[in-house]
Amino acid sequence: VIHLVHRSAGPDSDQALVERARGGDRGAFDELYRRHADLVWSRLGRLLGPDPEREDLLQQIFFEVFRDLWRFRGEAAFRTFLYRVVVNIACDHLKRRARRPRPVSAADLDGLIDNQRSPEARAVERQRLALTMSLLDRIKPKKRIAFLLRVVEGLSLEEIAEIVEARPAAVAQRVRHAHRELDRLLEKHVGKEGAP
Amino acid sequence: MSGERPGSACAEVRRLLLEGSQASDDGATGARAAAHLGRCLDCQRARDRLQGLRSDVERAATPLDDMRRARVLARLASALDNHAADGGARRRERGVRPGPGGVLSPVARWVLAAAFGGSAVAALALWLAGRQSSAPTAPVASRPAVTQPAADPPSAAPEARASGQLAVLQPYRPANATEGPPAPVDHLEVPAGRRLRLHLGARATATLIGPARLRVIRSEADLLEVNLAHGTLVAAYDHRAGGQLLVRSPRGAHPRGRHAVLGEGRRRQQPDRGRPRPRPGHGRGRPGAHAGGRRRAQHRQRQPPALDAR
Repeated sequence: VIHLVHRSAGPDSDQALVERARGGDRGAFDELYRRHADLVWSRLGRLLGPDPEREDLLQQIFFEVFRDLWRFRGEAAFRTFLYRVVVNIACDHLKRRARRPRPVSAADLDGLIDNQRSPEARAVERQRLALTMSLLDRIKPKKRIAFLLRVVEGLSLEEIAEIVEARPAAVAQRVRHAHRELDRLLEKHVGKEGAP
Repeated sequence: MSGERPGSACAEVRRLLLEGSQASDDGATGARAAAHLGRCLDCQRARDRLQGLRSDVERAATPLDDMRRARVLARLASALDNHAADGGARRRERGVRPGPGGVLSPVARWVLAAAFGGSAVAALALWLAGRQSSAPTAPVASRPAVTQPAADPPSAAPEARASGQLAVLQPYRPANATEGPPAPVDHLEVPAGRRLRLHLGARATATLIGPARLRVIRSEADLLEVNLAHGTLVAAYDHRAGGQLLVRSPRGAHPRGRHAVLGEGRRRQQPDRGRPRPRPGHGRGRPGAHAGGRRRAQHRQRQPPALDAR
């Protein structure tokens, strides 16, 4: 309740900052960016995996948000508006990436693995992460995003539906389809490589 | 199973795993699913898979460091300034879209689209006509298939194969084994999910992480050459007695080249500021032909390199 009151009524609430930013206050832009950049960055990481273009996408997201701020009417939370842009840009990026597939480099994966572990353990981890990312890359972007928002981020179907602008039933179906496809791909992979 | 159909119970559990508490209408459904999950191995495996995937994806959510945050903010400010200078906001207020649509009338846009479409159809028709006229009337006899030899690394000398010198891969003896160490072989395959520690000749030890396939292609006094067709190899080379271990990977994903050389003696000649000068090599890994000098310098790392050939 305190959070909601702060968000909706406080002088430094998102809504107040948006109003100031619309009036051309660059300080309000900066404050909105500082407040939300971490969340946007981590959400991009979950949706896209270790992608070298993540920094450019972060910039693009905030650029589009600030450019289209006049569209934000304040009916939903600013965070929902922001996440909608994140999801749209992530979806477009995944579609582009599917057209020009690029395997995740070992250097990108190494950044996610604990340096203190033995080389063998790191190689196993790297292999597992590469498999997970390659399987996720084979799922259609809309399904992948719905699945990750539900299973990894733990958002409710209604919240996801609001972000992706779809009905909750459609979101549930995307999540189920993505899970089924992942299972099928994993079984096919295990069958091809031999049972562990 | 207390009268429940196994398929429907599994489906219920999967739905609960995916949709959480939203999928259960009442407490009884959740309790029933939890009881089923406790005894169904398939459902437990599905739950573990989801948990593994969740933890893998969570790793990619690395925190945003201050340098990057500041860099993006600076670029963003510059982009917003440029946008404001372009007058994008004024165009939007007038309801005019930026770009060619803003300067062309709807009729002109339709004319332009029709012209493009017509020229595309004409080009397609011309191309098809050209193809038909150049097609031979008599059926072409099928040509024999030309098989391109695979780009394999150089194979071993015949006499070396015949004398069995290639059998230098010796897996470690299992701790609980009653018999002696396994006989050395010249090729090894490791299934998915398994690891195998082995001796690579007299000077190297290695771990093969499955699925992997390793084959010896040359074994001489000062050179051991192996081909990692598939999988991951983590190797350590004892450089004190000199010699080299050359690991080839035709489909390699090694960031520093298609092959790696381990241990080429205690010293090697390396040019330094235009003047040749002996420098210690310490037998560490050196990248293959695709790597440059800067990468070579980066490659001097403490841990033995892992070569991926997935």
